[in-house]
Amino acid sequence: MTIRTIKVDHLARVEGEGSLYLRIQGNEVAEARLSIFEPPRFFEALLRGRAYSEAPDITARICGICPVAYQMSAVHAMERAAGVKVSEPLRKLRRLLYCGEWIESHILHIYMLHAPDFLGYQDAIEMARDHTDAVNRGLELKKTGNQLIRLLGGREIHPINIRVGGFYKCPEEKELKALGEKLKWARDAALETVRWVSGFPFPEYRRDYEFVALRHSSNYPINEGRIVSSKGVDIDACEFEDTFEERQVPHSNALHAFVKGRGAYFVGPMARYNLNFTKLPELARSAAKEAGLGEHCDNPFQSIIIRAIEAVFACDEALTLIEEYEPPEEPAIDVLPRGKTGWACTEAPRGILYHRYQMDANGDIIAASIIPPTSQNQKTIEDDLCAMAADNLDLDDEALQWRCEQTIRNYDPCISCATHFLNLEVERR
Amino acid sequence: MNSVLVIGIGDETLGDDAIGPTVAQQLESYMPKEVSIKRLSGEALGLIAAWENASKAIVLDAVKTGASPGTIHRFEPLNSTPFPVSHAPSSHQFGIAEAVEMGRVLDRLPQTLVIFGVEAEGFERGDPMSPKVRAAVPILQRRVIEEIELGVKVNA
Repeated sequence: MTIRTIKVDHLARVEGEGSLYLRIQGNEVAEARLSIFEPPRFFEALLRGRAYSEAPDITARICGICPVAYQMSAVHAMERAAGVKVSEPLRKLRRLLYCGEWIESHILHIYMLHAPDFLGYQDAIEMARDHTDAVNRGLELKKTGNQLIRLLGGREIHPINIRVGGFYKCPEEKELKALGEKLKWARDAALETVRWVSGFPFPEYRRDYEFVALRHSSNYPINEGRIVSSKGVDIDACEFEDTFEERQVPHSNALHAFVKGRGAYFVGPMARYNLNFTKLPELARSAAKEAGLGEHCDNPFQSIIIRAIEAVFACDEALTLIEEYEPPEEPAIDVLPRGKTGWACTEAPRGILYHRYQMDANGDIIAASIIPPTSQNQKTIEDDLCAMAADNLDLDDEALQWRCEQTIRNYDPCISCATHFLNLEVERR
Repeated sequence: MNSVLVIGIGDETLGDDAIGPTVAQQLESYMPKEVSIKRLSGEALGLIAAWENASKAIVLDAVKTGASPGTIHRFEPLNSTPFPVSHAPSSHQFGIAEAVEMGRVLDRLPQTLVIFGVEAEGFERGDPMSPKVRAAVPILQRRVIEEIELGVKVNA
């Protein structure tokens, strides 16, 4: 029996370091492994004994691409622990900040990391020689997201203006309005992005996934909502660990996540889209229609189109939030989560990001758990690799490897996030 | 277009990766208005967006080339060979070397680009800078100031 192996020791164009191993025996895919060999970074050492108020700044360090997601899950978990909710104007400002991160992260992935797979280039630099206008558009679009984060977050990386309870300083109306013109341009550019990526060639590929995302009563989900799935999950964030479980696998530093008693699941833009299509603004829904997508999509290769549609949504939503802006009366409310436990899930660009914190009587953190979206998707990615390879055994090794890497990038995996687990339990004495 | 920009790249919580942002922060307090200071993660599009309108951009980063820790390397990637080292601890496969190459393709580069790479010893999360790299902080600061003065003179 012939045995073929495809090995990629250093995956390019993913955030972090990962490797891929695929073993084919005869006409069957015997094994597909996405390994993560960056050593887990022990954030618990940084969090243990630290004040509840430090969680957003410490966890923001987990990821250079999605620090806002970590900050938002942390502040919501702390507020939940304290049993308080921020005012509507603060809630909207947080939504606006998060829109900036969605724009930045989605655009980076579409233009720099994923598009070269579809257009047949080794990397974005090579692609830019032939698609200069498109890449320039991506760069300007990403800058727009960046400006939002800088204005609300205080700086571009690891924003410093975010605190439990709200912000240190709220923006002035005129500062926000000044971004309006740029955002209108960005919304058009995002629509152009949808048209650009929807013309890419997509392999026919479908599987029966369980999609998991937040669902909110009135908005497309970003910061709030119940956790729902396409197979009937409908829970509050405090029930996350009753519904989902993580298992250690020998080949990876990241844990694999499962729906208890059922199996792997799928988080991210495609899950959000499938579970919340009707909450998208008309502009985004018609862009989806024009791109040939229905209300439901289960071809993960088309996730690049959905990222572009979500970029349209994020620009449009940011414009609406700026138009409706009312400066909050106070930049932050008081939050005192002493002796309590709090949970929160928010929609990071790559999918739901779960945080749980337990505080002692002083409000110091004694236990924390953080489950990033990439680890939740890891089993699904491996299952996709198996199924996709089985369908494409006729391809030569080079072509098969290309298709494998493209499959992994469908999920925009943030491998550095996935290994930044912390799961600590401290004994109280 | 007559502006000088200093960009400190890195994460202050990753051991010697702190060198770029640390020096950038110290310079912030006494720089004239014509000089802007930024701290960035090192992701390529962010770098291009930051430097494209500068007459001179000075980038500070931690590097691993095999030299002894604390050694300060100076590169001028627009005048010579491309930036030869990778930013070791970055989670971003698409980083500074790619930013230079992408900037060339898109014609979005500063007029002058100087990269100071400080040889790092370690990038452990939560560690402070190693003594040898910390000792390089004032030296790098002085070299950046010399570089800025040169830039201002050239543009005057």
